[in-house]
Amino acid sequence: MISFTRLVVDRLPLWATLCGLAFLAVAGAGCAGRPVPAPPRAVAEAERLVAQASKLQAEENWPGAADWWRRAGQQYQLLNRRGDVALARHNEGICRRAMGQLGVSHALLEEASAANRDLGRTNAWWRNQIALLQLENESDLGRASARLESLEPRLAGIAEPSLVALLRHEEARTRAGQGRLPEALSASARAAAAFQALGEAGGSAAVLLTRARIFQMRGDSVEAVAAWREALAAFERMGHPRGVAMSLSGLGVSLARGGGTREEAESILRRALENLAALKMEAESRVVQDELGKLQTPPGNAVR
Amino acid sequence: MALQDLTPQLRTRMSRVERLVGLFVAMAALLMVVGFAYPVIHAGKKRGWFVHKVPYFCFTRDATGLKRGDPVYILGRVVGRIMEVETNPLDPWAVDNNWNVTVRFEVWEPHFGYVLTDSTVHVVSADFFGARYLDITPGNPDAGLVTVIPGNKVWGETLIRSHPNTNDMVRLGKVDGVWLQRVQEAPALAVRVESIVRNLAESLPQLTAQVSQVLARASDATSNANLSIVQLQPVLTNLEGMTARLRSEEGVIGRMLLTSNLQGQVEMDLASMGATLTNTTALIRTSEAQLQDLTRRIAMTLDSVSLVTSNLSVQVNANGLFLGEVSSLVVGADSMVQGLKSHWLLRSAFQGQTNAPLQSVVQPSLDGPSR
Repeated sequence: MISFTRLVVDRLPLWATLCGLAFLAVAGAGCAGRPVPAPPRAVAEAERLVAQASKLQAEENWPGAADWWRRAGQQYQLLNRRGDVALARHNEGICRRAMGQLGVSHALLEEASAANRDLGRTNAWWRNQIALLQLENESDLGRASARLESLEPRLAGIAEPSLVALLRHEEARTRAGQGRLPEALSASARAAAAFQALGEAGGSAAVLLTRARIFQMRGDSVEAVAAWREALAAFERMGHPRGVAMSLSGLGVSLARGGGTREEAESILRRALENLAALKMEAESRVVQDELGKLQTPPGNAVR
Repeated sequence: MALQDLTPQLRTRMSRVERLVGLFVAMAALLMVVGFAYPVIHAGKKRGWFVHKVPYFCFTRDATGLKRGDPVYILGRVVGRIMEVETNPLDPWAVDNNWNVTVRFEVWEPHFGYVLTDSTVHVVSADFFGARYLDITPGNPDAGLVTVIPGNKVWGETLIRSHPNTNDMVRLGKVDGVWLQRVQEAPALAVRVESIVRNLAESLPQLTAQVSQVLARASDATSNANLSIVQLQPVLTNLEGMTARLRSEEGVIGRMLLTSNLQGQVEMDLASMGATLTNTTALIRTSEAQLQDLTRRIAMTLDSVSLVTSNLSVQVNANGLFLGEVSSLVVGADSMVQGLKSHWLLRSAFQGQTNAPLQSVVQPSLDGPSR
């Protein structure tokens, strides 16, 4: 055997030897493992629906994504996979919130939260709770405060650091809504530190927006302008259109309220308004329009 | 002169006369007795002296117009008499039910056969002076059970069913009285008339006040109407003149409504309108022709489309195997790929990508400026 090999190596050219070795390597790799058996048809269908829904959600096609998540939820319901049903309901709730259907979104998130609680899926349950807190911070501050009070004692039970960071961020937003600005600032600082430790640029930039808003609510225009500019830079690096629009609008408003010159404020507010109109962000557009209107009305000519 | 003083001839003649007189007197007495007895018997029958009677009683609210001896009626016929009208003692039971007076009466044979347990005693007004009488409605034979069984004539006994236990038969004489519970009492006519008069007296002042108000308003309206008529007289005169002109002259309305300038203009406009109408008609005709042409072209196009689709259909039908060939090609390619997947040499090239497990999406919230 050895003599045969030596004969082959001695007689054959290098390229042939290498081809042979490569062939042997591929053959060896091809022998490894049996093919994965195909999943049942209904499961494959559910996975297909989830994949499509995820794709649409990533593209921010909220109505399409909501519909596909709903169908995926139904399919998993037929297969009695409660965990996957909860996942589909949660994601459908996120899409419905983006579509402005806050009531429906709340109900879906509550349903997912109840299912995850029953199944003992702690991390998923925390995600549901954070999403509910985000929703309630926009729609019902009283409920948000109550939920935050109930979640705070359980913070030690969170396994994922990213969830801690998100919760601190929401805590800062809730406290800011309640007018407890010092507590809001300290919570936002903890959130920023957590996001930085995780290396999540999106989270850090979002916390910057919150801090800028808190400074603005406190009347500290200089700090607010600095925070808005920092957030704008972060979102520009990330290529995040909604973040850029929010940052521009906040910067324009802070400049208009004494943080900078009138021309600069007006220019930024106009750009912000264009961006917000293109992204169909109506609530934020109204704020910017009001501020622009105040800028353009000469003092003393306010409409009575 | 004593009989023994007479001669034997006279004595014979006198005894014959005496016999005749005696006979006459006897007959007269008999006739008198019959004459007295018949009305007495008739009156007795009418008053129920010789017939069996059944005693009844009922309770009423008051005894107005009722007295002993008043007749009792069934179906409009006197069938009995009231025997007693007495007020009841102040028993709570009687007070609660408003049964203040007990009226006892009797009904004569054979009329008590009509009176059954569901019979109703109606206390009805007899006249305007407050008199009332009792009128009993016959009962339902299927319901009521107070009846009479003619007794054994030999023993002269008559039995009736007792009340309240209607299965027992008792002798007529032993019955104390049958209680007729259903009583409908109408107030006496005089009482009703009095109440009507009282109501009228109370409402009459209001009525007269309303009538006087209406009369006052009517008089105001009449005086206003007079004034209006006076004011309308010139208007009527003018109207009369206008109608006279309308009847006699032609085109009066036009001359009245339009000035002479306007009249001329209207005539010119009417003249030009004819030309406009002619042009419009021509335009409509042209449009109609164009529409028809368009419709025809659309129909031609549709025909062409249908021709194309029918050709396509024919080709597809002709190439019936085409789709089958394509389908079998796809199936064959899939089978080849599945076979390649399971081949040991190329298995690793078909291993599916394992993506990260999906999670519930939670993104940080973006805050905008505050108001």
